[in-house]
Amino acid sequence: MILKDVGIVLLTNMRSKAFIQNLVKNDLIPGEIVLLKKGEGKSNPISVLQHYEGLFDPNEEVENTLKLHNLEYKTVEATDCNEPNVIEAVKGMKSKYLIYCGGGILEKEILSLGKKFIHVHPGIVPKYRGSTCFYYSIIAEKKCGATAFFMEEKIDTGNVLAQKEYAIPNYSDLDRIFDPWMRSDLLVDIIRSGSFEEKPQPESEDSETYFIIHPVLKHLAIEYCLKQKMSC
Amino acid sequence: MQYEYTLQNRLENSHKYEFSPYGKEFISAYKDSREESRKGLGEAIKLDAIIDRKFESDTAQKIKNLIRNPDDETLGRYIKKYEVTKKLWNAYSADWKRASDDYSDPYQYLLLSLSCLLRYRETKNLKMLNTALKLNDLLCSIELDDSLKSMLALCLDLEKEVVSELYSSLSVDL
Repeated sequence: MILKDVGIVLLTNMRSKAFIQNLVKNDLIPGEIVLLKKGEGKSNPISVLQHYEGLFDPNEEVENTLKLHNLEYKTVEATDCNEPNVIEAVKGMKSKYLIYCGGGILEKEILSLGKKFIHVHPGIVPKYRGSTCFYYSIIAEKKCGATAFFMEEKIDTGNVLAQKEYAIPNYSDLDRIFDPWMRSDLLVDIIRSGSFEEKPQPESEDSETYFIIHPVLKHLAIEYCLKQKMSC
Repeated sequence: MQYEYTLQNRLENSHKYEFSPYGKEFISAYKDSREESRKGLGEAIKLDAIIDRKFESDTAQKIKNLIRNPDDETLGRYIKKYEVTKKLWNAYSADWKRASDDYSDPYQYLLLSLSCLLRYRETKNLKMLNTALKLNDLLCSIELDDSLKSMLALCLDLEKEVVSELYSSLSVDL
């Protein structure tokens, strides 16, 4: 199914790989596709372990997925959504809704183009705003979750489309596999639902904004995940 | 494996902590690095000795005041300043703009680490511990005057205590 009012701004990162592969797998084809790319834009291969099978293929480049499925796309030489050529490309898109796959914090100019950017954040907001939230929630609550919301200038404060909790993973590559997969799973849910009903984030005393996790805490979260696997 | 976060002066060459390592080798390198840094620092200073002291930089003085009078909003501001720029300026204006050209005063980093660790002990807010770990990396990566070593000793002792407790609360070996 071609999504008439939904476009996507892809990069060459893992999140883009997970998003486009899982959208295509679920026959949800964005009506307009823009790919931001500079140079070859290829990532280093990673070993695909048994646990990852069925989530997405981290070694399939975004452009290959697009070509494999004969999807039309426009390439823009950029890596950041705020670059002038990206703004021009977005201006030219007809879709009201654009799926965001990363590429910098969106600034006023791009946010003022009348598009609604859908961001899937790897944490339940407002409790977990900011960076690498899944690690923090694994340590603090032994669970994790994701939130889809419309982006606005302030970080992670936009109106919520959906939230979903996830069981903690039983593998260790949370940055490159679990995080993008979890986001893609919720993205598929909301796109499939066909409803972009939004609601403001609740005011909460529990709200917190986290910064990129220190490896000592990251190691703890990963070891905890692997321990659960062992005890199963 | 070496613990890369203290291998060079992190005040001048900050680390982004993106896609950081993990695993048994990594955690062993972290422990070795901290143990090495703790050697030669001597006895940790008593907290009261810090609280009674006056600091030259406005930022250091204000962060020190947070130890006795905790205010998570203000502490959160300093954490954000540090996390975003990996530096603390000697002074900030009322609207939190940089109001100094100097970021080199190690007391600011020591006091922020200490404030974060003490507040983490009270609240268990992981954001505080996360920033303290990064600050301690920075502090272990620079040369400190003898007069500052006992403060770093206190920060490292506190870090060891809370990290060990946290690991054991999730039954994960450290």
